[in-house]
Amino acid sequence: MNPPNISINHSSTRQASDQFIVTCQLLSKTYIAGQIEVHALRGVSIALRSGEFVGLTGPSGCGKSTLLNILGMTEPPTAGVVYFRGAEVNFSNSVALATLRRSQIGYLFQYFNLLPTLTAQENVALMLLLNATGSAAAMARAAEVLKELGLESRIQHLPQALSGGEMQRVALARAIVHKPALVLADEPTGNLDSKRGQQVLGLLSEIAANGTAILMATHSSSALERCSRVISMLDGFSTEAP
Amino acid sequence: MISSAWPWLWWRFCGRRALARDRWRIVLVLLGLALVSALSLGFVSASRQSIEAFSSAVGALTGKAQIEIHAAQGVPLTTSAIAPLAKALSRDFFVIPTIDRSAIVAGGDCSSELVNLVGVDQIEAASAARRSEGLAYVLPSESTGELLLARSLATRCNLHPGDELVLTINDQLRSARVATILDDTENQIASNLILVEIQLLQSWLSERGQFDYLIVAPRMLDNAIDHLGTTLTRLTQQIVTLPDLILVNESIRRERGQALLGAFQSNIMIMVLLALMVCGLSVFNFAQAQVQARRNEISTLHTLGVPAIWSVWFVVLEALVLATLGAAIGVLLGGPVINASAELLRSSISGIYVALGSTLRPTLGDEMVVVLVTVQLICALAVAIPALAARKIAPTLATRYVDHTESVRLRIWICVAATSLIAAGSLTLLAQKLHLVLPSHIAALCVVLALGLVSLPTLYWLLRISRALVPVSAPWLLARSTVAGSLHSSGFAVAVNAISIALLVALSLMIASFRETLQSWTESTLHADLYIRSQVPDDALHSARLSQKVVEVIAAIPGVQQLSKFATLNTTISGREVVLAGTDLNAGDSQFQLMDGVLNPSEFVAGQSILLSERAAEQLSARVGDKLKVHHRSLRVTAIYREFGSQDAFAVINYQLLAQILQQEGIRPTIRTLAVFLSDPNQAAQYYAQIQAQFPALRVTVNQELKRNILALFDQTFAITELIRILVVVLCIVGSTVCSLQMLRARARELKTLDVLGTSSQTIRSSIAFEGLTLALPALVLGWIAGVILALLLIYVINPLSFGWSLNISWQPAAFYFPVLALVVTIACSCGAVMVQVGAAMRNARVSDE
Repeated sequence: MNPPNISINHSSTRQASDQFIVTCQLLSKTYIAGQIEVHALRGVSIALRSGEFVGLTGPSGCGKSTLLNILGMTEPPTAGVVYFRGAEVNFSNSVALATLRRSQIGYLFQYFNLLPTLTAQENVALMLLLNATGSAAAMARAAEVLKELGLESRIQHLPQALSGGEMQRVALARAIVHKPALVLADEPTGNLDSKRGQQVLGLLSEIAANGTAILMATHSSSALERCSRVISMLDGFSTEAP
Repeated sequence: MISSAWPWLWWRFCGRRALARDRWRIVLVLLGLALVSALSLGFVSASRQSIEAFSSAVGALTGKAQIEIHAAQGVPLTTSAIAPLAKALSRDFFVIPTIDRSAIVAGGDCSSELVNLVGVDQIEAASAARRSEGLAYVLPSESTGELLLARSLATRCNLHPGDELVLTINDQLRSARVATILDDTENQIASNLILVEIQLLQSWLSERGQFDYLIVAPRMLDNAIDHLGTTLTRLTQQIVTLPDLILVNESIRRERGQALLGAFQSNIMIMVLLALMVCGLSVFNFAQAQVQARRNEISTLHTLGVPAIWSVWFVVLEALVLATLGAAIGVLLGGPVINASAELLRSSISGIYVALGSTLRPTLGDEMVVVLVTVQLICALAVAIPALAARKIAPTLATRYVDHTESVRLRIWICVAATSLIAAGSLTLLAQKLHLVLPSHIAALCVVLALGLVSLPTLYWLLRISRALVPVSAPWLLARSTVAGSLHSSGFAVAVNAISIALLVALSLMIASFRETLQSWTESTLHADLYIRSQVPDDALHSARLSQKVVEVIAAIPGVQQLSKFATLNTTISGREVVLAGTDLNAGDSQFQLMDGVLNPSEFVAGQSILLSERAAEQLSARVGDKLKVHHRSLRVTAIYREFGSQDAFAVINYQLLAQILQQEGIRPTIRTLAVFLSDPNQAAQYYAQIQAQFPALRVTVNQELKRNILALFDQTFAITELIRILVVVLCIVGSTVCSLQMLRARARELKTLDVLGTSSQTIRSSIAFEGLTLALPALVLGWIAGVILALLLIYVINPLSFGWSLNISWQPAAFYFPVLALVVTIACSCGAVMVQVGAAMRNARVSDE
């Protein structure tokens, strides 16, 4: 099945621009487990522009998820600074962080994390409702996005009635429906077969082409081929791939 | 506004689908809430109604502006005896001879209704005496009936003028007709009152010319209350010339009634508070398990940007919805429960509160709203901690699959538990030192807190030790993994079960010890063949004094070997109020169960020593050998004895010495009790009948009957604790089952994985059984230990400080068996529910989904 053609309703199509969506400087994160200190990140500095599709790779335990968590405003760094659209992020203000997350960031989890008591349409519409869209408009827009992703016949189904690929597409719809500036994807194809994985990657490429910055953590080399840029991580350090 | 998304999300996150997914747990929680609500409603309603009815009955019977005159000497009042008094009072007062008895009535819709049968001389005159209260006792001239019924009684039993009733009085059957229904628009009449002419009642009782007391009411209605003071003064002057009569005004009856009702109310409120407390714990347990099971979902919501405070409101609102539903169901069921509990209360207390038992007519009213609001408040408070925990769930959890890594800070748990135990010990010492009860109660709470806190570390170390000791098997590995993986939830389950067991053990030990001590006390102190006192109350706590004439008459009865008199005088020793009692040791065996010291009869009879009750010794801080100043006499404390007959502080001296003291003070001896020793104890029944017939106003009790009555009274008083025990067990079962089913849902994916790996259902069921055992064993051991500690605290500290009664601990095996049985039933029910559901949970789970 060919990946469907997505047309995200931006007011104008954005090209990859010089505008930085998120920047982090000398990020460090240390976990303390009993007597042991785990340095998950050591002075990582990266920057993501609008429209970039950036891959994040490295062996297990190198700090990929930690970096995603910090850039996704779900976890504070031990040291370092994060800027979002030029403004420094204050990690002590949980209310502001939540506002930022729901309005500017989309999440694509490895295990989908769909809410089991909401239908596919409702899972997607949730993001619009959280951004003060009216109920009818949110449901209509959610149905539209799901239709664009080829899930028209599944919009009233609960997650447990969907296949893995369908769930990931619903999760993708949820991640983009509110037109975030940044999408964070943690191993989005990790639980999918190659065919469906390619489908999701194709969708992500299209989203990036429309101006959304995407940072994708992955082990898959075929996924990395889709990225305009690859950041490698090892033992908490990051390097750009040539 | 984002807030508009709140109800949308709440309905989908917590509403219909979520409820359908967890329907069995929800049903169990609703059942628990409904049960608690119905019980609370029943008891509170019965309590309120009974108090109102009893107060009304007391008020109606005793009136507002009237006095009763009773015979103090134990002889029945006769017309000739009160003739001088009646003549002196008749100008300004109605003087109405009255007989007041209980009877069982059958007629109309009632087959055995307990009623108050009051015979008054000249009903219409009595009516005139009470017309200030709007009453009218009027016998219609054309009536052929004899009985005037209270309206509520007539309504209850569907009786009308002309209906025939069969009355059982003193085991004799009498029939009579209803003459009229008393019109009482202001609820002045007792709800079970039947009035009849005194002459008719005297004929039924074979007591012609005799009556129980006089009602004295002023004729001048305008200033009736003012007259009361004048009347009392005048009658007191009159009474001086008539030493065999005593006054009882309505405040004495009300005081006595209030004292009885106070104890009754306390029992009821303890029951209700306990039910509400256990309800709160169950709801807390449910919410806690709910938050744990849906942790990933909540974390996802937080990651997506849902304000964390919304999670708090989701949890609280879910609890309130369940509370409203459960309470509403309970209130609807409350009607039958109220009536059933009213029957139970009536049957359990009618031996003590005759009038009270018959006035229990609870109805649903404002109590429904009170119970509804209270249950909701309890639930809202109970879920506060889980709700706040939901708020704290980190968004990062959503990025990790099923992070079961719980960091357990054992040191904190152990430190706080140790602190609680130390506090308990310190408070106990403080309570004993300062003779204060409150620190001892707080000490008991500290013990319970320590028990709860030490449960999790105990479980943790049990699991660690079991690695080395228990042979590895698949079910045991799975069980250990499950328990260790959710240590906080498991620890909480252990804590709740342990606390329940501790309460059951402590309660059982305390009651068993109390009963055994009481039984031992009655056997060692009650040796007389007959015990005699007046049926008339002198004040709220004591019966009327017996006159010397009564004592002489009874002593002169052939076959009466000896009389032991127990006279009393309220006085002070060392600035403390005590009851100075005089007893005649020569009259019989020692009637004191000594705790300390030795009773030297010769020294005692010589008036050189004094016996102190346990309460008195504690209040006077006196020990054996100390010297006390008693009315200018120095007496040596020879012994300290147990006294369960009263909570007063008793100081006992030789009767002759007391008589001397009284004579010097110009006070007549007050003898309230006679203990009669017969030459032939086998004839006790005959002497009982003879004395009772001669002095119907006295209460004569045979030795064995007295002992039986004391223990029966004890059993009745503590009967309510049986209900408490059953309630604790039922709510434990509900709570454990709900928790287990909640954890099952959280583990569905894990179970499915096991199924895919080829684990047999037998292995899974065995692992569930092992889980139950793992949680049960520490709960049992900790519960037993804490239960014994609590029992010791209750028996040796709280009881003596509260009531002045120390007990001998009785290690009844049943105190330990019942909690085991309760725990087995609880674990069996919760494991059984899980085993039934595990198949469906595995079928519905998917290995590959989140």
